[in-house]
Amino acid sequence: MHFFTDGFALLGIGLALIIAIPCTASAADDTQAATYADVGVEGCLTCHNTPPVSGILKTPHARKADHRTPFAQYGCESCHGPSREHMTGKQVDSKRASPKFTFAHRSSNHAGTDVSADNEVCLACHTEQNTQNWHGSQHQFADLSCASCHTVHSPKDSVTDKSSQAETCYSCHTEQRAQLHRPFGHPLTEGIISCSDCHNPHGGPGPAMLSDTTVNASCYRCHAEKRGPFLWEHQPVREDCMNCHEPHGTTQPGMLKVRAPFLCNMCHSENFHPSTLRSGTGVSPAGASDNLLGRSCSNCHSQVHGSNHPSGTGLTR
Amino acid sequence: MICLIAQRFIRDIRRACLLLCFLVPVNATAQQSPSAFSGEVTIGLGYVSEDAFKFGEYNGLQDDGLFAIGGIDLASTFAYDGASANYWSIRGENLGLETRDIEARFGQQGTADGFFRYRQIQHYRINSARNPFIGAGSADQTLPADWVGSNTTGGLRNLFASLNKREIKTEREQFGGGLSWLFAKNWSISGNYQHEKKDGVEPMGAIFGTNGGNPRGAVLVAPIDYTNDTLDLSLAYAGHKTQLALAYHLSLFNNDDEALTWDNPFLRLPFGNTWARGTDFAAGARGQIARAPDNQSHQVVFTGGHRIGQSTRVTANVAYGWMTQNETFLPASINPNLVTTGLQRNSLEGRIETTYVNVGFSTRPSRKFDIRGHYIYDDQDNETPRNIYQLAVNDSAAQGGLVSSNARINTPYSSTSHRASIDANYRIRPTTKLTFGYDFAHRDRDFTEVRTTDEHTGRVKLWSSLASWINGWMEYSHAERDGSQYVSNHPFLSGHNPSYIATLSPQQRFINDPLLRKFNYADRDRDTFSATVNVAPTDKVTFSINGKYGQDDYKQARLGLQERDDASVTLDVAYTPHKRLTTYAFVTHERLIYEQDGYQRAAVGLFPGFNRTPSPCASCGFWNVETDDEINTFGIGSKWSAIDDKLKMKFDYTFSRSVTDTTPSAEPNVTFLPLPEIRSRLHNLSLSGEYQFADNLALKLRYMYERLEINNFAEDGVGPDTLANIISLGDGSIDYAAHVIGVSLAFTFR
Repeated sequence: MHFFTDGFALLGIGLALIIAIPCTASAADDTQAATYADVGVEGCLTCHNTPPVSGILKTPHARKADHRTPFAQYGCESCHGPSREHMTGKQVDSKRASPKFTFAHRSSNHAGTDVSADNEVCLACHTEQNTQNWHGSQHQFADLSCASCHTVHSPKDSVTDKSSQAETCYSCHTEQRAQLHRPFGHPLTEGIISCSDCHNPHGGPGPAMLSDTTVNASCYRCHAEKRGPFLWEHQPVREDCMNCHEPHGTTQPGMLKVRAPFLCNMCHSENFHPSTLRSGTGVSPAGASDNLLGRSCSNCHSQVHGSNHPSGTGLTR
Repeated sequence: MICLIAQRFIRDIRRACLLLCFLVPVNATAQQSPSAFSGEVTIGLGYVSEDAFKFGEYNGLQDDGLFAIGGIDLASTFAYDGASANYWSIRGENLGLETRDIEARFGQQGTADGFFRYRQIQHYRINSARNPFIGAGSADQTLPADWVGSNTTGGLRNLFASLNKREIKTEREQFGGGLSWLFAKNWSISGNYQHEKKDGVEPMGAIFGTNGGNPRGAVLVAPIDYTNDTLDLSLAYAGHKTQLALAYHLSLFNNDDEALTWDNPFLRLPFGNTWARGTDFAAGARGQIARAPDNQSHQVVFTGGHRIGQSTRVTANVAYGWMTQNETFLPASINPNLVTTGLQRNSLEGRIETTYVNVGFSTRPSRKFDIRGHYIYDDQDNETPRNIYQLAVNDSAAQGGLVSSNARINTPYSSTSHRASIDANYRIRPTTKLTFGYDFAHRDRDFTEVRTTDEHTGRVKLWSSLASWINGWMEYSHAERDGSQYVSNHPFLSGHNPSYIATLSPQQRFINDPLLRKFNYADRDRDTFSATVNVAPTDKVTFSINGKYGQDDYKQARLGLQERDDASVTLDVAYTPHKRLTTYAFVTHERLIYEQDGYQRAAVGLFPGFNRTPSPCASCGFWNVETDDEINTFGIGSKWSAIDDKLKMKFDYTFSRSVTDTTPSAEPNVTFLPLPEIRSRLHNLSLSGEYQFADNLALKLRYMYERLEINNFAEDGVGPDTLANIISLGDGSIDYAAHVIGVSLAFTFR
């Protein structure tokens, strides 16, 4: 019943909002257009005809048949800006005048430098859904330029390839690089998943630029069996998977932050066995504790993500 | 001869791809360039030296011996000034392994796009597990007819004769596709569908016993037989100033195994009877555990952004969703004689409604200022009905009475949070800026010890490029979280029948120790300091050093997590002597320290309440455990194009070493001994080379070496009968050294 009320009501409101918005597509700025050299791509290729610059000819940007592309508008000047002075060889400070935008690659050298003008060039066209949260995102506020991560002249932009994407992210996120080299982690170093499977580097609606609204919603994408709802919920699990797990990798199986039973003891000090200190008395040769060795607490409490059994309140069923 | 074969192969591939051009529905044949496509096809052979599930955990190289190397990466070519925007591409990786991933894309750029994808993802976990159950990995597991029960594993006379090797692994198989269509200027509609099947087994502890003092069980090999169908639909408008999108996400999860049923390998409780299947526990002597129930998730998402003027943008993300689960309940026990009362409902009718609103703005009122702000509302409304469930504990005791400790009420947790944040950048100079930020978070929960928490966070960050060759930043943040009164027995009062609670004295109405503070909503002070310096003394060399220190102080917790310290420092060096050679090295040192307190309490100290004065038992007392992770990670690598477009080489080596030191200490009453360290050492070396020895042919070589050794007291030497009360899988420790070599030919199309 809720599906037909709340869900479709929101759907309807959203549709109405969208349809009510008039098309406000950008129009070419005629004043600005007057300063274009207007020599076409061929004019630029007279000098810039070798890789990596010429690599752009093999990219989607270089497709005149798609009216949205830079090549269908002012060619190279669509992105690099009106460059008549550059084309005519005008000298500025004893050097040939540069194009207006040169998009210097800034991986770690961006600190404090304003790059918004460069980024606006890209954002003028890239208004698609996954860039909608760019403004106000952590990356935007940290002055990352699009060219910090993307190499648009390369036929294969390595940051869009899942097997090589992490190398780009690691250049700043060194803590996560170290975590992902720990023995227990998600298969990112194997190239099976990529950072952008969970995060939207252009800004996502969730914390830490997650593509989903919450941490748990991200996890449920691949771990739908843990979604429930369950009859017997485990409160910290329902609240945030990261209460117990570090998704970038840990030294403990299951990407647990701390090995059980000590992880469990942080919240469980009930009578009987949960309150008991587990120590070397439970390890050979002194002993062999059911509560410490093997799967520790999960030797018995195997349903820590929730149980749907009518007698499963102890998460053993 | 090889060249002849190669030429034929290239010819066949060209034919196949031209055929594909006819098959794709968007006139992909209309190519302007002389060559219709470019890319490469790779075939070859590889060899793995060692059987090691942990090495092949995700990469498909878990078995020793030969494996096939196969890859394809082809795409249509085009002339930038051509009249057609049609395209297609096909990419396939790891085609000879169980991790193959194939994707085909096609369409008309700027008009319509489509894709198909097939993918396998494996997870190999344990290849040395042993287990005595017949039907291990299925939903019904029995013991051999000659099984002899006992009170402990040591007396299970036929245990070792009954063991069979089990491989613990899963495989996901996904296929799907999608279409998107720009049906009008700035308007698009898209739909993606994926079907995933996940098969395999996982370890699962399964016990009998009436309380925590007398469990008897086994780690079973439980079946995994899941499917998950997902559908994503969206309608979007992407204008220059305004962007809007409406999306619907659906996930239908299905588990073919509702339950797992198994024989009790131990004697019945109270111990004493001779084991005979079907004669213990009054009737059945079997246990049944619920598997993950079928469930659904629906979400409608609206996102929008609008630019106001040249420097202000507002955004909104609004999502409403509902997660449901209504699997028919299993009986309170599979042993009918233990069931005295029916359930109050046949299924849960579980439903969680989620509402998420994230509205934000960012603006630049002047060239020196940037400001951004966000408000987030996150509501998880668990509407699952609450009922009393009379437990038949672990299929080992008769169902509890309605007025007893075994009459429990489910607690469907809900929470609502409000978060507001604002940050401002002030540019002191064109290359120096100062950032100030403040967050406020308020969260309401139910059925928990703390109803509300408030957290204030302040931060300041200085960024600067002091010169063209040096720049960096430093940041400090401080957060304080305070909650409403910590009512220790609120979960107890919420989870038991009020009629039963009325029979208890106030001092008996507890589960957890009143001095405990659960870390996820306990009062907490959090301090974090981090800094980075990047130095580029020449165009060829860059150094970067990054450090971070964080501390969480759970200031009101007498028991539970007391403090968490997190420190790391990383040094990165990159050296690029010339365009064709790049090298890098890094080293990271990390320390993670968790300090927690507990209070050991024996049964004789149970009542009244949690009274500690006088000491309720001879072995009672406070204890402390410090878990100290020290991790060092080192990496070095290089890429070298030795001969332009002819010879490329690459090597990467990483080494990660961790030591987890768990140090217990306690009051004199509490007996304890030190715990052994847990150590891991992981070496990974990868060497690869590619030589283009003919115009369309390249030779690729790859060598990989990985060595992982983990010393873990919890796993090392723990066999099926090591634990007195639990038959473990005896999966043992992880120790392998695997070499992989691969030789392949790449047929290149330009």
